[in-house]
Amino acid sequence: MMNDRQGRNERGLRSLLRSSLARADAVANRLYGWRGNPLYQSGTLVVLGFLVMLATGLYLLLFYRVGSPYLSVHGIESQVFAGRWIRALHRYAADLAVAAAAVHALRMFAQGRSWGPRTLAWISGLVLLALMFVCGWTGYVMIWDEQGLALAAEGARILDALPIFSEPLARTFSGERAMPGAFFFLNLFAHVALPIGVAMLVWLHVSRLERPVLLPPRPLMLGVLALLTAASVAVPAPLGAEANFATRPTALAVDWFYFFWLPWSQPWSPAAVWGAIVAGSALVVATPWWSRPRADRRPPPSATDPHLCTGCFQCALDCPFGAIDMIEIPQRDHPVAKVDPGLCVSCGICAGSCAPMAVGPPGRTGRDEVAEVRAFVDAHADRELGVVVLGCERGVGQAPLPVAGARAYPIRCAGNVHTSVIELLIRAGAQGVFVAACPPRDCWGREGPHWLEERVHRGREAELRESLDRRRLRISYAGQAETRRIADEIATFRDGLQSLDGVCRETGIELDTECETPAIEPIP
Amino acid sequence: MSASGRALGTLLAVGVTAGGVALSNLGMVVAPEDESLVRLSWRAIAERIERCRVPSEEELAKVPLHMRRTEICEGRLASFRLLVTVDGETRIDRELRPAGAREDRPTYVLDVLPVAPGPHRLEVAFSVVGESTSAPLQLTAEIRPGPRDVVLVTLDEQGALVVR
Repeated sequence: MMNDRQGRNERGLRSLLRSSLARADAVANRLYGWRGNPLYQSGTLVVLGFLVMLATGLYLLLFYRVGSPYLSVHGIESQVFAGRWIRALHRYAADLAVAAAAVHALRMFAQGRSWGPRTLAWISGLVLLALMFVCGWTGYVMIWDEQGLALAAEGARILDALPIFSEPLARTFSGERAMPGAFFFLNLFAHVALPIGVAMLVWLHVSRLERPVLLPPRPLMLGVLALLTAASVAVPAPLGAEANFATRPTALAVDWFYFFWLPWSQPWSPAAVWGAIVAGSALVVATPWWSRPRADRRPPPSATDPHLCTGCFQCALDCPFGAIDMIEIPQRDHPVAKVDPGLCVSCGICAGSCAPMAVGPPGRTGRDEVAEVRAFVDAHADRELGVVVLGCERGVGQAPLPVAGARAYPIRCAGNVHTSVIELLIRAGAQGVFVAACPPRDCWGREGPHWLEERVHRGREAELRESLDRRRLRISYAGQAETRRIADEIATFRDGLQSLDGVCRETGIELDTECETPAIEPIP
Repeated sequence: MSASGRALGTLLAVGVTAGGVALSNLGMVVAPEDESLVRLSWRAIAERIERCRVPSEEELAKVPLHMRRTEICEGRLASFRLLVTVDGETRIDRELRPAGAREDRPTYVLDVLPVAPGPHRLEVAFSVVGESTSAPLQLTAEIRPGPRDVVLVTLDEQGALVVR
């Protein structure tokens, strides 16, 4: 299992991004712990921002008037104890959502989680981001201050390049005639209706995930809400002078999270702006195709050996992507697992969940893992195994671990590791087994560390044998750039093992695979 | 986690929030302080230029009785020429074609001219290209925009060019 390097495209921009993110993760993990690391929660922070916008937006809607947009916002600003900070909170939550969405997209790209079965999530995420920008644009225009007018005029200038309007939209903002009331009504309608589209897209975005997590952990959520609220009270959202066609502003208080493109778009012709939009969109939309590994390097999806499958449903329950169905086949008197290759990302979590080792990516099933571990043990038959460190290849397993008395054994994912591997290592004489897994919210396979914990400590199938001394096993979480910390933990673990009895080195170890002896003809 | 770690974490969170708030409220210079604008904005419908001919016997024979016409006319809307001078200097001189893919929509004038604040002599001429029965629209005006002012040139209710 462990020599499988296929599907890894770690060069160039992606590699640079990944190592930068890993360093940032390491700092955040040190300061907030992996549970509170906001970088791991970028997706859920978008949802949190969206919910805050929804709540504050409902309040603001009570006071907004399409007949007098600026005056109504001015009225909201004069509510010192409510409206002012609620409007600011609405704005800062929108900023949080767009910033978190950008970080989320960057992470997914850097970690190679943007292609194959994840293409739907990538594309729907991009549409979500685009909708957020449009929603933000309508929100800033509806205030109808100088900034609102400037954004409306710039938007109209760009849209007028499309041959779909009966008359130029820009004429609306030239001052030639009074602003039609319908404009503010339509703008408000779009601002309220677009979030409905956002909500539907969020559903689509996570539709291929089992047990999607939509909100950050409570401490982080409360912390973020407290910070946003404090910022909203301390720094109210700016409100410029009322939009006036007879004057032109020289400076605008622009929200750079949403309008970072304004300084570049203004000097350009609308056709050039559209060219940039189309080219940029094509580049990011096509990411799942241009960034995926070469065909011969893509990890193959899991497959099931129906002869070995006992129909226990565990792999279907554990699969984080809902890629496994239990189907009836005439050759067996119980359902057998069937993997949908279109949904399988080859995380290998099913391999760890299967007691009879019937399912998993080719070369990474429980049986393959056990065979490799036996070879590893045999190769070290003439010396002590010491502490065997199962390091996740996408995390600390990438780097050598300079700890005396410890042997590195790279694994694809903690959730991919079959508990028989741990059992085999300990029974074969390993002083201890240290699993250095990726932090649960940063697992490439989503739920690997969680399922491993369940299998080792809570009896979840395929559980670690109860008689095995748990003191000889440690599961720890670390990101790619936390080698030093994890090395210290391994050393502490190794030292702690000295107080235990000496290791007993078994030979000819038989493992209980709970396997039915196939008494049927081969299934075609 | 140690107290210093917690303090550092809190400090970083507050710093990131402050940075975000600053980025959300950062000013952006969109125009020079000492600049005014002349904005031209109006809509005009040009005359239709038609060429008519009598169809030949062969042409008529090809169509059913109820579709035979005594005269076939093909036409298009005329273009306009816009000429704008500021203090005698030509700033705009171009032909404006009717809007729409088939150029059968009105002609829209939408333009802005940056000018220095202060007095200027503004001359605008807007005429149909080619032969026309309608008189060209003309405007000669003294304008005195202040800094940041926008002077609008448009049509009044009688269809004459005016400065607002």
